[in-house]
Amino acid sequence: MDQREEHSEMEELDLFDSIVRGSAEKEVVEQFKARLQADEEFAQRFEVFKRTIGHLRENVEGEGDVDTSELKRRLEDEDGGMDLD
Amino acid sequence: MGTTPHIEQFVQHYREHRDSFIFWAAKHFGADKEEAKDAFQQAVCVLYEKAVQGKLDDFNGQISTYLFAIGRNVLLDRFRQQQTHGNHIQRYAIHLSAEKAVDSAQERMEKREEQACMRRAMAELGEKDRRILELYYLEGLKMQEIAEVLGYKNANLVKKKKFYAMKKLMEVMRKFMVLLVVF
Repeated sequence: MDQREEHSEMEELDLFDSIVRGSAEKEVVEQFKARLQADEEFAQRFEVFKRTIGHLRENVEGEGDVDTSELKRRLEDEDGGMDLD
Repeated sequence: MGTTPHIEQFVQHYREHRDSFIFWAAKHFGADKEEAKDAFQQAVCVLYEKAVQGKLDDFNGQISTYLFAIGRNVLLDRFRQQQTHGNHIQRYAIHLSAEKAVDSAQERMEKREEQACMRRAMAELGEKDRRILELYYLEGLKMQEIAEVLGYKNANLVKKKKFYAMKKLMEVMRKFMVLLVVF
């Protein structure tokens, strides 16, 4: 892969990131939506991206719950004397 | 899993950074003390969970950077839910789930295979690369924050590592999706 191709892929990933993180400006979002409709390959690449992140999430969530109840109780106790007016 | 961390250590982090976070949250988000305190408690709990899962074993950065970043994202999520913040940006939330409607035994088998392929691909990534993806996509940290938390020289290096890790995973997913179309 040449540098230009790699740069273009990085830019596309930046775009996808900004869309899913909700940091894209309205104009960018509108252009993105239009391209999703018009460009099948682009839409497929975005689908691959979405499903990949979905698996990442599943993988992490599958690591098991950690019991934080004792810590929460200790932190609440810590705030017992705190002035919160 | 790492060794079970001592809760007292996390209470100490809370004690040490709580007031700075409350001040910072009021200044940048107009959060009141109660909101800021709740967000910071949640941040300390997330830090604890990561420690129990062994994800802080090679932690090289500032605990405060990590705690503030998580706390900020907790506040942002709450503000978004209340629709009182960030209205100047058009939010375009996308449900990022690997789940899809599964109707038949064939589709269930394909889904299990897809999950297995992705688990293998993720396992092949280095621990630090997995953490970069997790911190960025699931915990919402910025590149600079990830660099500080994981001890990288700068944000650009993290960005490149994230790109190559995602590229590797997406390639596996793409091949899988192509196979589904072919057969």
